[in-house]
Amino acid sequence: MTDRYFRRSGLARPFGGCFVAETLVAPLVDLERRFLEALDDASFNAQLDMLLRDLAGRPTPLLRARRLGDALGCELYLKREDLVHTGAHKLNNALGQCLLAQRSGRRRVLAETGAGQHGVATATAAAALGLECEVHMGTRDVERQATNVRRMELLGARVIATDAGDATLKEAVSSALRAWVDDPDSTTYVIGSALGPHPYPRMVAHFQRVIGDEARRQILERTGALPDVAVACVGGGSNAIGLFSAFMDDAVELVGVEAGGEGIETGRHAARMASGSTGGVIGVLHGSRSRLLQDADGQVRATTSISAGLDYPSLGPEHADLETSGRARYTSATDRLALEACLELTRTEGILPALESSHALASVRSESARYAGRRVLVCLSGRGDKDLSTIAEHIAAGGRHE
Amino acid sequence: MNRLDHLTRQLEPGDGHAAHGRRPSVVPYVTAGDGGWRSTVEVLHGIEAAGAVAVELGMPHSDPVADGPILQQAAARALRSGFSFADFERCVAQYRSEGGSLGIVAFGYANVLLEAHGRAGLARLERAGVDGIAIADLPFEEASELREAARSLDLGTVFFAAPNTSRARLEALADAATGFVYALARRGTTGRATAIDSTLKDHLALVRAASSHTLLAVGFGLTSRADIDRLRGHCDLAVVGSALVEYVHRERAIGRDVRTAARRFVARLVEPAPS
Repeated sequence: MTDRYFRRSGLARPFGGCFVAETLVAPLVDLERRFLEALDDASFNAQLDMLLRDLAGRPTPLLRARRLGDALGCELYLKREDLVHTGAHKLNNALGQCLLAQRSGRRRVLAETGAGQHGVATATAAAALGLECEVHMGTRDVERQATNVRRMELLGARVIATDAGDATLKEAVSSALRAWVDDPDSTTYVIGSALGPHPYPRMVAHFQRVIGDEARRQILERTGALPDVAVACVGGGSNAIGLFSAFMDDAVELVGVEAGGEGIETGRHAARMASGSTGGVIGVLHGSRSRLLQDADGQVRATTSISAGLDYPSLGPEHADLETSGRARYTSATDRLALEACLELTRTEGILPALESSHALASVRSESARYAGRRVLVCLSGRGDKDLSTIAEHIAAGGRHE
Repeated sequence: MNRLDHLTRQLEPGDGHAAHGRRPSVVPYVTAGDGGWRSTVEVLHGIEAAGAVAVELGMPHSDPVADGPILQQAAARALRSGFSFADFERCVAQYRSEGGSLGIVAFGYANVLLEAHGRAGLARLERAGVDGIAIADLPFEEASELREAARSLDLGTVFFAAPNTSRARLEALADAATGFVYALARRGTTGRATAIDSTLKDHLALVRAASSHTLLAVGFGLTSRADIDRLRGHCDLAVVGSALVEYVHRERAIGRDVRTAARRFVARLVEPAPS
């Protein structure tokens, strides 16, 4: 299993791998086999394309954001994943994995969720494909994202709240993994980001690659040229890897933006790579080796971000690999800058972006000098309706403090 | 040769111990640092006084994905009290310096037992008096560094066999295990009850067939003397974890002596039920 992984994933050691309890080895070997078969299965791909078109609403548009671009002094394009059904890019992957589960005769799917977007996407895909769905979520996120919890329940999913640890995304993943170990035969775990043991990082990157493939085609059609820079936020890193994948062999600068939280210098952030010497070192969490925010003993550190979807101490092994090779660059944006970018896009372009995606925009604003006059492609991974109350609270708190 | 070999010699695996219908030896699992490092030393003495020959000593981890609620909470209590890798070493070294002779298998997750301190960490554990290493989230394919380091440090290695592990993998993992093979009695996480039925016994027979030279341990959901009795002839070692951790925690919470509590709990498991 392992040797094949490092060959097929294209990753050099040390990143990736399959660090799981023995009970999950057989299901993962089986999942890898089913995934590799599906890659070349015309009927699977036709069915997935139809779902992406008719249920998810693909292709999504590419918007030339003229007012914001002019303000920042660059030629700015936004890949509108916020217009995917259910409000974020998560459905691309959930449909792919759920379809794979359904065609493999699985009865039930499990998912984890932080902000609730992957939970809603999986509940939606499961409803459309006639699968039972169980979504694991930290109790803190259940409170922060009450609307999404109700959406999942309306879609027929069972929401399992876990109050272990910080009760956020990390604990939701652990809880889902435990539920999968309980019932590995009739159940498949539909992981929401490019995380986890092999073959998940590769599979999620494959199902999200549609973002980059469409954007590349669209920008070429529109301008006759590739972008100079492609920018995406990185929690686990699924929208970023989906965008980057299409430009890997092009002369396009790839930039991942992590959650800077209250500021790297405060230690209260979720920047695994962009935080320099105080940041993530190599470690294993949730089945793969990547960069991980941890103490000297390998205990995982708490993270902080305004954005539940970026609030995670590790990231996909592909990103750790891209950073090491220098193919992609990773930076961060603080809560405050992400919020400012969110409000600016809303007022200049009439689009309320998710706080996750706002981190990507914030980095373009912060580095506007670097991007002056250049063609910049940003993945607008989700819409911000889910964040209305968080945004309002922060505006109110900021107003009091300033 | 490694430091668990004396256990293997003592218990005669395969066609000796298990096949002759002998009762498996009880191997208690304890979360190190639950109640503080000194409490753990006391618990180890209590376990030894009860007549056990080996113990699995859990290094707590912030994200124990293979564990059920009881062991999750025990690890969280230990970490909240500031328990560190150095404290784990100190527990073992102190227990050894007080004459403790249980075989000790350090039990935990890849990130805390292998990634964070690497080979140097394994050497520290060996010097402190650890005899073997078991890592819950390390399939043998990911274990080449561990196996190499363990060989040179004379530490025994433990690999896990699940109910859905293929026969070919069983043989490969048994070859990799120099301490013992740990058969998971069922799917799922630690702590929930396990039925000791013909399905489990068939699974154990398969694992036994693939690993006749190695000691065979069984764990996950074993709680009582009757559970151990029912495993007679099917394995060499029976691991009892969550039930003991919970018992000692409750006794500690009401101010009872933990050495006595551990001894009393383990002694009941070690003795066969009266027939």
